[in-house]
Amino acid sequence: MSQSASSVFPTPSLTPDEPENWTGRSSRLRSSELAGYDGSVERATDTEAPIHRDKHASTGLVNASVEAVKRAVHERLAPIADHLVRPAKPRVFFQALENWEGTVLEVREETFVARLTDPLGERKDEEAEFFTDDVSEWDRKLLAPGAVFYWSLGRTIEPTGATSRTSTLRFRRLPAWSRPELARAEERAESLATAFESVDGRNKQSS
Amino acid sequence: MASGLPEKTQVSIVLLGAFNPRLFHPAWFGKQGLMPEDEAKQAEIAIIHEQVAQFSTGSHEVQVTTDRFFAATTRDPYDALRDLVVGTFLLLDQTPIRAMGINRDSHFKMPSEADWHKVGHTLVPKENWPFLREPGVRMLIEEGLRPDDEKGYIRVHVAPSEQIVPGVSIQVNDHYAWNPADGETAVNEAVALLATAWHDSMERATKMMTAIVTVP
Repeated sequence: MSQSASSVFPTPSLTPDEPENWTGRSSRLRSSELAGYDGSVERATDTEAPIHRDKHASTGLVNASVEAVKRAVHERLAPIADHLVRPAKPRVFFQALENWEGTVLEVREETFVARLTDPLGERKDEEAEFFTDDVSEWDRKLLAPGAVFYWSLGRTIEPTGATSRTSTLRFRRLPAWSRPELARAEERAESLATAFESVDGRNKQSS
Repeated sequence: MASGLPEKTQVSIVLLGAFNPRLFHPAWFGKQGLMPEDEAKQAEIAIIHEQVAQFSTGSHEVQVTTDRFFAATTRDPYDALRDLVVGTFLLLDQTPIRAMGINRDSHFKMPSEADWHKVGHTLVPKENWPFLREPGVRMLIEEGLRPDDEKGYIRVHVAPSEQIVPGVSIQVNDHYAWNPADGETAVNEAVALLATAWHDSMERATKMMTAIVTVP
């Protein structure tokens, strides 16, 4: 691979729906995007995560996530933008080794028992007992039979590079009425899909 | 050959549509039970404005502009990020949404420079570039059709990692495009997909990345 400092911007896609749905870095920059901005532009059709890069003087590539925010602010609040938007701070990363989804079966005095399910369905269900103290204080009020949590085992890597083994328990948080609402969302989506299909069918017949 | 286990991973969800950034204050997330209230109170707020909102907590980073919602995490369980977005748009079920991306960005440490070069040379054989001296991949973007019935694509970026040397950075953009008619929204489709297809998306991205970095 190449570590050359020279920039190579990919050419725009030639897919039929270009440019509206182009989600790469477009070479066709709007003048409003150029004003005060010297980096690559992610247009509002882009569902990619901003790719964090260090700034290179020769290429003008900058921290894309900060720049996306700055661009939006710049259009309205140019004098304030630089004061308000800070560069991304060093982050802690987690290297997952094992993941389980748990359902609380029983809450005891100092522990709770849960059924563990593999989210990918590759391992058999297991039962395990956990210490209540291993649950974050802000999640303890969620601890009740039927509550769902995620158990992740892995390594935490600090910005300094320091690495440690960690086990994380985090309880699922969805609005209280989530299950029926999820079902309704699916029903609405299905009925919309059916409606669109019948409209398409009528249009094809009449054309 | 790399172990296949990334050193660093960020998972994110991007929604395109129409948003009111001012609404996305960490206090709102805490009050709605979408994140612990204590975590919401300790959030670091960069800006909350009618044009843009940006804040981060110990677990998540959220950025919202008037046409784009972005939420990310570098900490497992990644399912908690999915829950945050599902919960948000179950509550904001009239939000105009037209496209969604589920993104997985990882940085892999390569055992040696030779292995690192091998990734680039396997993806883009240098014998096909005789007109360049010492050609090397600076960034590769490959796109493929979706493996399901949904509209959109899967797009993969591969580049040398600037965070790990020698390392390879891979981003998988799992893009869904609904493009609903004016006045309509695909928020229900987005929520339903996040609820049902999240693990498939995560697993697919992991397998793609492993295949790229573990070239023989």
